[in-house]
Amino acid sequence: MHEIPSTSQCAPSIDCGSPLGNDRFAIELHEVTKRYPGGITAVDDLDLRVPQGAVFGFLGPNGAGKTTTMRMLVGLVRPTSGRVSVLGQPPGTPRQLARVGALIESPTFYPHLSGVDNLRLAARYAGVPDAAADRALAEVGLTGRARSAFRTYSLGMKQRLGVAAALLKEPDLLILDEPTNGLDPAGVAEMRELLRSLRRDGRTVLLSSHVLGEVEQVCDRIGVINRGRLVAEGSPDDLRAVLGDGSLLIGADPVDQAVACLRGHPAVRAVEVVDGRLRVTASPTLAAELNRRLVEAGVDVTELRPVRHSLEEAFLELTGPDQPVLADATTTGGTR
Amino acid sequence: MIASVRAAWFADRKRPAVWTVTLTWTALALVFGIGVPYLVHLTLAGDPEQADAAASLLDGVLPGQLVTTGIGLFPLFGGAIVVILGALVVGNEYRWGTLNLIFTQRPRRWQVTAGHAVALCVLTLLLAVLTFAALAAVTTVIALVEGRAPSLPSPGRLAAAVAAAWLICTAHAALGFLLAIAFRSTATAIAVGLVWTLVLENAVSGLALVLSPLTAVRNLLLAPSSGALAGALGARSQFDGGTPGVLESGNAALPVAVLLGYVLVTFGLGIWLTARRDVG
Repeated sequence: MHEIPSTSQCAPSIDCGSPLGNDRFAIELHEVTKRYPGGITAVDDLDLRVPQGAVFGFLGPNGAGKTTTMRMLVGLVRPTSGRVSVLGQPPGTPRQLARVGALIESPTFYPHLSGVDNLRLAARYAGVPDAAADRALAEVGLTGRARSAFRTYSLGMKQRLGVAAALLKEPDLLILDEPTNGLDPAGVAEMRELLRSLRRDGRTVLLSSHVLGEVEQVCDRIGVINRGRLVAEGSPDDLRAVLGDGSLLIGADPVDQAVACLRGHPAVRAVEVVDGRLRVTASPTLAAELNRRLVEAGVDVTELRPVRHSLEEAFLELTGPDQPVLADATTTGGTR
Repeated sequence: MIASVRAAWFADRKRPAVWTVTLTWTALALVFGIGVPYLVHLTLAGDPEQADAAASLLDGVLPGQLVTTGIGLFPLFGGAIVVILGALVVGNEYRWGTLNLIFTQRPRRWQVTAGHAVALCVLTLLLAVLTFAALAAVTTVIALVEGRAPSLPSPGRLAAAVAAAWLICTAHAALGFLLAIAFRSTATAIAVGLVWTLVLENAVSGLALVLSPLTAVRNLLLAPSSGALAGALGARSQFDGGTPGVLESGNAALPVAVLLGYVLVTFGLGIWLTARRDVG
C-alpha cells in the first residue's frame, strides 16, 4: 500500500488501534475477506475505517471490490472472514439498518409502482411514516413526477429516486454507489450540494464514484481499493502527493537557453518542452528561485505557474496494472 | 413482522400480474366449471335420448352442487395457476432486484420473506373466496333461468369448501414461492413448478393405479393430495365422470395433513434460504 504522508496517518486524536465498535468511526472493517463460490476473491483482507461525520470517497477500478464491500456494510453479503461494524452494530440488524440509507449499484424499484408508492413501500418496511416519502422526494427534486410509474423514469430520475430512498430514514450513515450516474450537470451540482448539506448535518457518507472531480470537491477523505485491498487512504491532497511534489509550467524565451539554465539547477529533476513551454519537474516552492535564475540568465519569463497532479493521475498510478498489491504491507494508521 | 406483512401486501395488491392471474383463474373456473357443461347441457337438452345426461349436467351447474363443482376445479387447474402466482410474487423481487431495497430498510430478512408468505396466504384466500363467489353468482343466475330453486349448500359446507380450496391454493402457491427463491427466477420457477405438479405428480399418481407400492408415495404428493381432499368433499373423480385431478377419498384428514405439511415446509425452506444466502 502507498504510505501516504501527513494526514493519511491517523489523526493524533484518533486511536487507530482500538477494537471494533469505536463510536468515532461510522464504519470499521477489520481483515475482511469475501470469496464467492468458484474461488473469486472480491475483497481480500480489507481494513477500512470511516470517521463519523466524514464524506468518504471510496474509489477503485471496476471489479475492485467496492460494491461487494458496500453490500457487506448493509448485510446483503456476508464476509467470508473478518469483522464488520457499522455504527457500532453488526451489519444487517434492525438497529443498524434503521440508521443507514443505501443506494448500491443501481436504483432497484418496482417498475409498476409510482415513485411515491415505491418510497411508501420502503417506508412501511422501515417503519417510518408515509410522509417521509414526500419529504425525500422533495429533497431530490422529484415531487413533480412522484406519481408516474418508475418504469417511465429516465436514468437520472431513477437515480434521484434511489437517493431519495436512501434519505428516507434520515439516516446517520449514507452509502451511495455512483449517485451521480445518469444525472445532468444541474443534477450533479444538486447532488454535490446535497452531500455538503449532509456533512453539515453531521451525517457520514460513504461515496463511490468514478467522477473523480466530484469526489475531490466533496470528500474529506478518500480510500482507494484495488483487487479487493485498500491501496491508499487519505485526504485528496495526500493522494495527489503520491505522485510527488508536482511540477511547474514556464513560458520562456529563448526556450533553448531556458532549458539549459534550468537543467543546471540541482533541485530540478526533469525539464521537457511541451507545446513551446517548459514542464519542469520540481517542487512548486522553487517557483520564485527558478524565475530569478532565468531572469539573471537573460531569459524572458512570460508565464510561470505550478501544476498540481490531478486526483485522476493519482488514481491511475495507484490502481494501474503494474501496481503491486502488497500482502505484507505495513499498517499505517487506518490503512493497510 | 406486521410492518413486513403490511409492506408485502401493499406491493402485492398493486401488482397487475397478481390480479391478472387471479381474474384469469376465476374466468377459467367459470368457463370450464360452469359455462362449458351448461352449453353441452343446452346442446343435449333437445335430444330425448340424452335427457339423463343433460339433466346430470344441469344439476352440476346449479347452486346446490356449488361445493362439489367448485372444489373439483382446484386440484389440477387451480393448483397449476396458483403455482404461477406464488412464483410471481417472490420471483419478481429477484428479477427487479428489489430485494436490495427491501432487505436494507429495517426488518430482518426472514421477517421480510415471512411477510411475503403471509401476504401470499391472503391472496390465495381471496382467490378461493372470489372463485366460489363468482361460481355462486353464475349458478344462481342459471337456476333462475332454468326455473329451479337457487338454494345454496349450507354455510358450513361452503366454508369447508372455501377452506379446502384455500389450503390447496396455499400449498401450490408455497411451492411456487420456494422454487422462485431457490432458482432466484420467476420463469424457471413456473416451468419447474408446472412440470412438477402437472406432469411428474400426475404420472406418479397414474402409475400408482397399477403399481400399488406407489400408492404411499402418491399420498404424499401435492396434486394427488389436493385431488383427494376435493374427493373427500364430494367432488367426482375423472373415472366417475368428474373433473381431472380429483381422486376418490373418504377421509380428508390425510390430505389436509399433507397439504399443511407442504405449506409449512415450503414456506419455511423459502424463508430459511433467503435469510441464509447472499443477495447478489
